[in-house]
Amino acid sequence: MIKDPIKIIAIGNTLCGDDGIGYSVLQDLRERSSFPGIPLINCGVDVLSLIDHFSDTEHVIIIDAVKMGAQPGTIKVFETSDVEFTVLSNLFSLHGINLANVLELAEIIGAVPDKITIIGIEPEQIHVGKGLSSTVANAREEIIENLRSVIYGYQHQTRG
Amino acid sequence: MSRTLDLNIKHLTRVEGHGNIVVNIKDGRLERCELEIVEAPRFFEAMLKGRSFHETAIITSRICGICSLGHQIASLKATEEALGLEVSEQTVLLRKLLIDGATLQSNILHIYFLAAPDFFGTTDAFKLIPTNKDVVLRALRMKRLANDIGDIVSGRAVHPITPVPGGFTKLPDESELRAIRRRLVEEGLPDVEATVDTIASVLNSVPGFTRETEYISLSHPDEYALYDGDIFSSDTGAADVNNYREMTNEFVVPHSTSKHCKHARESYMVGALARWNNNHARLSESALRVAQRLNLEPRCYNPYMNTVAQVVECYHCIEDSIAIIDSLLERGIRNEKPNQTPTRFGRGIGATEVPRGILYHEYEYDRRGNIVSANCIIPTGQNLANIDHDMKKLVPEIIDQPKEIIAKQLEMLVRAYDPCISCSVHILNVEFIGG
Repeated sequence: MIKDPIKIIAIGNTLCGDDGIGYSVLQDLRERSSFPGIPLINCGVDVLSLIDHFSDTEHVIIIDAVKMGAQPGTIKVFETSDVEFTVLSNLFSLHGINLANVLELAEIIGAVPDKITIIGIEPEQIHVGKGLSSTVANAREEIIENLRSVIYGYQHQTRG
Repeated sequence: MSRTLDLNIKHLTRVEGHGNIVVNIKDGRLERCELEIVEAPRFFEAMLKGRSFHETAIITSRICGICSLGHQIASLKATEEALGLEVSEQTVLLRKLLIDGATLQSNILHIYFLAAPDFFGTTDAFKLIPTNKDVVLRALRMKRLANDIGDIVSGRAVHPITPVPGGFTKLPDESELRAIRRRLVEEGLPDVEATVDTIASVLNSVPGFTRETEYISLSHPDEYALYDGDIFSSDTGAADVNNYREMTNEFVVPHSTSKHCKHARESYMVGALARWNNNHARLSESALRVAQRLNLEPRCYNPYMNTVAQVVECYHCIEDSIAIIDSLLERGIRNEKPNQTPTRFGRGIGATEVPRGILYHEYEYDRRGNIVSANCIIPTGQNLANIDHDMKKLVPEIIDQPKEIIAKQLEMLVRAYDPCISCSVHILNVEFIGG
């Protein structure tokens, strides 16, 4: 199978305030054609479909609102090995599956890409029916800068 | 019996204060037994006002990432009805194929990731993976197949883009249809047979609870209705889709921000079990054999069997997808452009079956083709009253059981309906190792 070298994937619910940050960044990237040739994928709330991208991609970059106990708008770039996730078990609905579940599943069935980088943004509010908070909306440029260094870092590494 | 018990199961969604199961029993008397869920489509009704008919389905498909295709199809049908846009037979066939794919995908996920852990006696689907890797791989293979049907026909699986009012902006290649047909036959059918085997082996874990209720679904004289049909009630028979408000009768309850619905009784059920009860006679013989193997009676009043009805529907969707593709290939894909010239501007209602039940969209357009008013009634909203009434019958029947068993059976019940919590968030909680 020919793998995509990199995919940028947003997850989150655009109905719920800052949970929509990933999608909003993807829109910015599309408008500016910032990273030509790199697929921009919005998984929205169908987080399980990440698995399909895991198996055919070398480096998956995920943009997502993440509760890290930091100031709202704080951006952290990390890999899955850097953190411990809270895995939500005892699900009531397909609407409740989150990234931690999917990462665990991918690990067990061996469908893990070579590298997963998560660009996490601490949300200010995740209220239903609200748009992005100004704090998180203002962090978009910084997210894109982080994305750029993750991508160029990776390309440099593979060339080098 | 003088038991006092308070249950408050809070982790339904991460939205604080909503999505809870609340049960209070005092001195053996059931005082409160409710499910609370927030409903999001109300926001969309406001958002749609003033938008052009070209945008409506795009916006509504964002109501929910899991149910986006269903919202898109119901929306397109409502718009076409309001604007007098006729669609071709080819468009209808392609939309039916999309619905089959979306139903297959959602049912498979529900069966394997939500219901299976209960059937296998564990609290967590993910605990089953190490010992059942083949089953998990099968589930993911089936999900991908269903996704790929969506990708080929609608452009992209999660938020469909090529279906527009009056038709499709891009049509699938015949070679793509042939390829997906081959996979449906070579992967889909054996995988769904294996799914039937898996579920047949755990049927004794399905609770024996029954409560007869009213079952409402679409119904069609010639087919197992998913895309189109009249509204059908097991109590009162067929009604025109235009009468959907009389069939739903939304009302406000204090414990839920989502409105409840009722028709001939205090509540009704929508979804796979309702479709099965109303329309099983229109399934193929082989699908009916699957139902028989799974002990699904022609009239089944056990809500936990909703999951089993979903398995039968998976079989149907694969069979039906193959038949639709054959029909499309026999006719040859015609290079049709979408019909987007309105012949009137008025009110239109679109009803379609989505995995969780019957979904209604209603729009009124002005003379410029912009939305004046919109209404959307989702299946979960229709099922909420029925879930409450199921719980009210169930709790006294199991009141002597330990608290954990009562909680588990209530959770299983809610899971069997797979409520759409479109406003649920999927926020990741992380702790950095070593700070």
